Amino acid sequence: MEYIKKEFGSYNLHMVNTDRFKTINVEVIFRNKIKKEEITITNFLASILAYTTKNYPVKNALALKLQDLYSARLFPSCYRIGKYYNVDFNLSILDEKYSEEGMFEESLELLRNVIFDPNVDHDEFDHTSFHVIQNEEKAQIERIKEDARKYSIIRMLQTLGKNLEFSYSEYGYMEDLDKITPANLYEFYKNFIHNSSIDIFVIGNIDFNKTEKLIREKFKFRVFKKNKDSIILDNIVPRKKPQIVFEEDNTSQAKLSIGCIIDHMTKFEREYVLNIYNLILGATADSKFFKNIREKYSICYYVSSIGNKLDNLFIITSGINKKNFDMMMTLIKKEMQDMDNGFFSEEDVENAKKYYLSILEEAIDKPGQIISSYYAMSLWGVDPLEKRKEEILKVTKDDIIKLSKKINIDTVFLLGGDKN
Amino acid sequence: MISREIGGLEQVVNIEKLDNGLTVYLVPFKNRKNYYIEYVTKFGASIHKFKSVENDRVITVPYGIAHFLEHKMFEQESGEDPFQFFSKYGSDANASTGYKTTSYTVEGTNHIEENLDYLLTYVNSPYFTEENVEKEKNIIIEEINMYNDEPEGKLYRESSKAIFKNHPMRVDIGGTEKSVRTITSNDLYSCYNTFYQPSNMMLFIGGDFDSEKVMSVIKKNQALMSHQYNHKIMVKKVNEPKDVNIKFKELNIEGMIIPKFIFTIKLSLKNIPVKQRYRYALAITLLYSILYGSSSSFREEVLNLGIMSFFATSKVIVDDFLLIEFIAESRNPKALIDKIVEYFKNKEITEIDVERHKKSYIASQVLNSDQVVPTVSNLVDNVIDYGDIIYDKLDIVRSITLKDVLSVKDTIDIENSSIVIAYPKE
Repeated sequence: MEYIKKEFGSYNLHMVNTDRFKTINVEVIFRNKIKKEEITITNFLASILAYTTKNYPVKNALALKLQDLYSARLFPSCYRIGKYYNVDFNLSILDEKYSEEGMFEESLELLRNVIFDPNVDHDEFDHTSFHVIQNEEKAQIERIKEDARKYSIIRMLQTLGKNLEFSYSEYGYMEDLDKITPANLYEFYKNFIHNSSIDIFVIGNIDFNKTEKLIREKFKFRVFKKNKDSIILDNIVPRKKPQIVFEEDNTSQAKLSIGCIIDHMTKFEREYVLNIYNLILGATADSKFFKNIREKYSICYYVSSIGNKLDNLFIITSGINKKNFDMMMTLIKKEMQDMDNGFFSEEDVENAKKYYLSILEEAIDKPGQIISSYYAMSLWGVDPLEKRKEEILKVTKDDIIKLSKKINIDTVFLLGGDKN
Repeated sequence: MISREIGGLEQVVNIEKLDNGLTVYLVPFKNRKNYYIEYVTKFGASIHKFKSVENDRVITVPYGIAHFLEHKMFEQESGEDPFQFFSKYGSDANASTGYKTTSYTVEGTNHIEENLDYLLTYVNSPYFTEENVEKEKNIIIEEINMYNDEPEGKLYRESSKAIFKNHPMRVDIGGTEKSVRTITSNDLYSCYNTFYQPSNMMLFIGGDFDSEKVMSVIKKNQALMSHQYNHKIMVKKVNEPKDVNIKFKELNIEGMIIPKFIFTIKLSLKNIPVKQRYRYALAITLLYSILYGSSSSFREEVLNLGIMSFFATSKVIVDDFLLIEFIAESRNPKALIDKIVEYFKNKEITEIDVERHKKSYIASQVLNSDQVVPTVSNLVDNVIDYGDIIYDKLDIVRSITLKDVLSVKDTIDIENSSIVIAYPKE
């Protein structure tokens, strides 16, 4: 596997040559500082660009074209990454060995259409497409409440830090959706295309020179602004005493979401120790939470944790019977206390490391993960894969105890469980 | 060991039937770091009445028992926790229960031989006691509660009850709180002894590994190889009518924000020999992707009308039935349902449609064959649904003509369908 990165001023081109896959994957990533009021319109824009274009002005036309490119897959995804909000256009096609010559170039041309030739007339997006996407976005925003587990996490984060980036809903907001028009969406597009930081990834069995030539021909970005701010969120001042919030909902199972603040992590802690801490405490079926809470006390089906390293947050979730709330809190706190006190074995540490190494090993089995890995390296200086395999081995029990003491419960949110 | 190739996908499958009846499928990959092992028994939530091999008597077991048994396999007499074993090598172990099967899986990047050996050992070493069975009940009931709270889960349940009159698919895989409470360790042993015999099981291994070493691990595994008996399995067939149970139902569901519906067409496969079912099911897939897929004029029209915010089609094969399901979200469900029927009845299908969808289907098969886990899962499904791996599936796709699609369409009675619409609760 060979990787090169080229900086062209307006964008970075990353190319990975490998014969491991039957596909070629292309990702065009637009990155902007997150603004709460722009999330909805950004989502809207990404969806409408991938829905119709100037030369494929109705949905059918674009979908048929994708089919004719041997089931090419082209879809946008929008997500927050630390202080930024990204829009990816993902294109996945068969290697020409399995389709026919010329398909790669034709697929890139379609991707170019999607990004540069929007379905716009008189400075307004096509009204038919506009209404379709409007309906979809509206449904997406309304639907969040149907997923109690997700909704409980969103509510917890809003309670934890009302104006901080992690409290923003990636699904968007109804009041912002109401303000979007075919005209102001086009204004937004023009700004977006000229002011985003852009990275293009191509991975597959590719020739670097040919690919570079094709990409430079097709993707003529003229970006005026650079986003140089740090990706990582600022440290938060922890509350002296955790806040506990109950929200009623007529469900049998209450969804518990606990937000913990991690106070001033070092780079090593952020990239390595946190992973090991999380694996030992709550990430797997071999974790302390699973073994000591689910298996011993039989009070829940799931209790698990996740570390959000860019947000300085550690999140715990579970589904419980509401009457067991106090007991659950006691058990969770005890497990966290045990981590502080070093009540875990060297074997736990070793197993967690092996687990993490296995994740790193597997990363090169999937094109998307290879891209994420190089993107993280390029964006906030994550170590290369091989170095990560060495560094993770350096994590000691003392490191974990030290980090554990920096992790403190800040906000506890319990949603529903009110059906008798 | 016999070696076969799946035509057009550069994928070899090596198969060996062991003396004790277990069939092993090795699925070698080059260029992959990860491996995936799936150990499957043909025992799932739809089996509920059968002849127990313990005393040759037909017994009825509580709903949810296959799933309960899956949970309890992780209990070992030694007190060792299988999850802990697998995590030693950084691998991921899991298990899942469906209506037709229960699977025990391991995914990892190293120590395949140790993990395989352990997987075979723990699944062949049941240890159920009254005490450990009681303890599990609360965990499972919390799991049932979790699914019960999901608005879409309720819609699914209602839909299954509308489709089937007698079939166990009317009840959730996990059973009900009531049925789970009645499960005993004896019930678990009856199911285990009957359905976890090697002859009723299959072992699939995909990845980049040494076949000889892997086979030797299997053949030397004591727990597996001492599991010898080979009883004939008799499952009491449910007498399920070919007609749907309820044609139309509307209800209000707590927590649902936007109305949703499931529209299911029930087809009997009784007259189609198992060997021809793949071709039949494939023609159906082509048919509904032509009529309702992402490039269909149906999609374009209902989106433009603003009467659809989510839409998916799928097919399910269960016993001698094939179900075609439309799952949708709509602020005007009835208008969308009318459109589905209208397109089915009136939309003309052309040769060009069929050829285009065939090409696209083949491409998606190649795409899906690039990863270990989906490849293995697909092979498992093939064996369960069609009795064998479909080695010539790309040729079968190529051989389908417009005439085939149209004649399959003629076998579909769209009136024999159930529609369940769920609205928000006020």
